[in-house]
Amino acid sequence: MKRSTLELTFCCFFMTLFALLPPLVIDLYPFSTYPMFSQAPTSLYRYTVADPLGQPLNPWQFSLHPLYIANPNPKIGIRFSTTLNPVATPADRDAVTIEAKRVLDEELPYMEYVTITPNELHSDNAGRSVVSSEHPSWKICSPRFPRCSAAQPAEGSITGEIGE
Amino acid sequence: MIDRYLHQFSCWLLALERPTATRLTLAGTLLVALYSCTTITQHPPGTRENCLSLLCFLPEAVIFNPRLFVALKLVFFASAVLWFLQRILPWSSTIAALSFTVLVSLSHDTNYYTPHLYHFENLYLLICATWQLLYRAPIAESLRCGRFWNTPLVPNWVNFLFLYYISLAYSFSGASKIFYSGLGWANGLSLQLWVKFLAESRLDNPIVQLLVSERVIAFAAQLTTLIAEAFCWLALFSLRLRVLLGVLLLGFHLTSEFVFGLGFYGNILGIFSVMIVQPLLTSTRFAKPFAARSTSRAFAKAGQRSN
Repeated sequence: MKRSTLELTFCCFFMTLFALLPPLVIDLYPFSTYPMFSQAPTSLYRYTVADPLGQPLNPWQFSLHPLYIANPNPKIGIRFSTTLNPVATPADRDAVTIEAKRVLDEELPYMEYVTITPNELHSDNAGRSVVSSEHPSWKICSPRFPRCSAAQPAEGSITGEIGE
Repeated sequence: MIDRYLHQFSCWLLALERPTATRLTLAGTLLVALYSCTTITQHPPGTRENCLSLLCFLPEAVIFNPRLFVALKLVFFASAVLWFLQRILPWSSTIAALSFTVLVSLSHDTNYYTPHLYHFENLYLLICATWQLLYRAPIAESLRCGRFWNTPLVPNWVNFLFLYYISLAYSFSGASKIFYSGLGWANGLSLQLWVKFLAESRLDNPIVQLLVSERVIAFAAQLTTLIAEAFCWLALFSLRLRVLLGVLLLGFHLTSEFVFGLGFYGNILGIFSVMIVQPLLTSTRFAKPFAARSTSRAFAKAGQRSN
């Protein structure tokens, strides 16, 4: 086969492949539509977890770590860990409660309760900047401590804008 | 009519240029790929939800094999250095391009999500390796005679295919943003949120502070990015638009690196070389592949080559 024929065949193959496949497969290396940062959020959430003394605990342990890729339909390869924090929307409080109770029961049996504080990053009222607001804390009791009352407000919970 | 344009386009693709710009871009790409080779990682096994590369059909014992991963890095490192020095061509180029492709593919298939960092450099290496394989005889002869830099050796398709890939990649990216979020993607707020959420450690920087504190500036940055990405396909048809879009995309990438430190060095190099430098340095034939006036010269060169 002549070299020019090979060259033109390669060009046709390359151009057809990279025009047609990416929209079909989205992310299948080396094909991609580069969909990262395609979701424009209006607010983002972080969660802090604290023990009864107010000492911070690792949100990872309660599956509340942020795993944010700004893509509404991400193609996940290997799932290392599950998180209950979708970041761009608030976490499901019921699911968080179930998971926190499980962690308290199985991994932290000596702890009476934990407080989980949602922290929302959103636009300021002037529409010029972004501010961080702490929402009321959730007190979640361990099933090992039946006298603990979840209704009791957690100490140190703050509500209001604390950003600049 | 269509036949005539296709014929003209084919002749233009096959016309030859001197290798200066391509060789410099290739050298830069090899350096970027060598750097990537030192940073690319393999993650431990976990629950697979989707394939992230074409090689995911391989057994897990291969994909998660740390020795194979290190061996691929070493093979790429050795062959890339030889390719950089133009030794043992086209074997060094073919092995380097293939080993890098396999290395990145395996890394993707151990990942949570596609990092999108290595596509551009990998594609350019594959295109250049194909060129060096198909032109092995004239390249070897020009190197032997010490006339490599003065001999027309690079067909226009080498850089055109890379430009084609860049244009489509950014157009798809722009289309994804509009598809998922509409034109409201460029609202300034989302960029401010990303900066504050993902670049916390750089908030002391005055430029980062400006982005976070002034919605208008964030909005302008996002709107420019969306326009440059969504209309990037126009770079295939117009020299002026190519340079303009290249400058806008380069600005977007440099700002992103400054703020987030993402590491899209292959993209930066590709845009700088193929969309800004090469159109300004090379002849109008490269700049206007579809322009009729370039056809006669392309025909002449193609004729010379076939003789």
